[in-house]
Amino acid sequence: MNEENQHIDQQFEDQVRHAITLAERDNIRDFISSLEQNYADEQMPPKAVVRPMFNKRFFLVAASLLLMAAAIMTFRSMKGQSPTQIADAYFVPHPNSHLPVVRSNDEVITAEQWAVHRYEAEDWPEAFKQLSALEDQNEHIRIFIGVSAYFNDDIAAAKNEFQAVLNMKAEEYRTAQWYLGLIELKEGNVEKAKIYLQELASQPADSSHQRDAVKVLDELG
Amino acid sequence: MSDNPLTEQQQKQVSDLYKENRERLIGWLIARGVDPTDALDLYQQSVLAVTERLVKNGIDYFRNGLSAYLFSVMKYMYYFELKKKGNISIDPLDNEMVFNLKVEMDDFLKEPDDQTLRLRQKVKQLDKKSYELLRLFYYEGKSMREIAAAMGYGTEQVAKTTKYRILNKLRKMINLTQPDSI
Repeated sequence: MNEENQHIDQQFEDQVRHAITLAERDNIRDFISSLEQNYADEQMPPKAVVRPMFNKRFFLVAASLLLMAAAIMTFRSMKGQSPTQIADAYFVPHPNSHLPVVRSNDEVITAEQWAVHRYEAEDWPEAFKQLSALEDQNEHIRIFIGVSAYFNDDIAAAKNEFQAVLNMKAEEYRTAQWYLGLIELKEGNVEKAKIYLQELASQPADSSHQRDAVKVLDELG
Repeated sequence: MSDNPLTEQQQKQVSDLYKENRERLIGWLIARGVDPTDALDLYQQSVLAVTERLVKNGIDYFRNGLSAYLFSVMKYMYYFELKKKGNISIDPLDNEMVFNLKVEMDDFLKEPDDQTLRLRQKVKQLDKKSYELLRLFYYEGKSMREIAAAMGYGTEQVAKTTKYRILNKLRKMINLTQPDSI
């Protein structure tokens, strides 16, 4: 090999050495890039898992727990109530389906309509007064009188009216039983109250006051 | 050709080095007015130089530790860049904070000529065994005897002949005339 060829060969080998070095650097550079990526990943805060504040399952569970808690609290509070308190809690005015009040200028409003209007307005003293003054003391009117008397704290008068309806053995018989049971309860006569309530509870399901009677009996224990 | 020239141990050493020094050294550069992106580039280039030295010379070469060497390399590169831009009158080697790295860094910072850049692409097209032979000889500085033993060529002469054939192949790949003899 002559001197010139030796020089060319050496120069080429230097270039190959440099080329190999550069190629290796490319590989190392890739590795360093992966280190930077790892570093960046480590520095990032953990990805926040965005969850709805109330997802469906959470909501259902929470709602169930709340309902259960509410039921327990209600049950406990009711269990802890006195018979009088239970009676007051269940004693609500009998709805007026007997004589719906017509508000029209074309018709003459009867005394019975005025009295029922007072009943619907829960004007108990005036309702008792006007209802009691009516000529036609049918079972519906007497139920209204008994309710008005109850809310006027005239329990004896209320009991008398409901008993009268009971004796009529008519359409409002079960209603009268229901109110008499609650009045006995209010007066602390639990066993007497239970007689009325048990008879109502033994009626077909969803019959008048049947479900309420079952509830009250359950609360009485 | 090999995808990652580092052994598993070297990979861990470089990985630890990178993580342990990144914030401090990039901060050092930024505190001197270097743009954060340029600072990251300079830091990675410095890690590359240290890694290359680790592959070629082994861990025992770094008597003051990898981190100290990395800091010196980075400072050298920082001053080198400043000097290249004409922003500084001092030579990096005049700075007492920089170890005597001139030979090593001149080699690292050497700009390739066009033919070297063409060869850089061609060596990547060689088969894996041919590339490995050149890598062991030119990059890691192994002797032909060591290469023959490591790669199973039987004798040193067989390894030499193989290397000669690979170089000729490269010459052809870049359209260079083959010399008359070895």
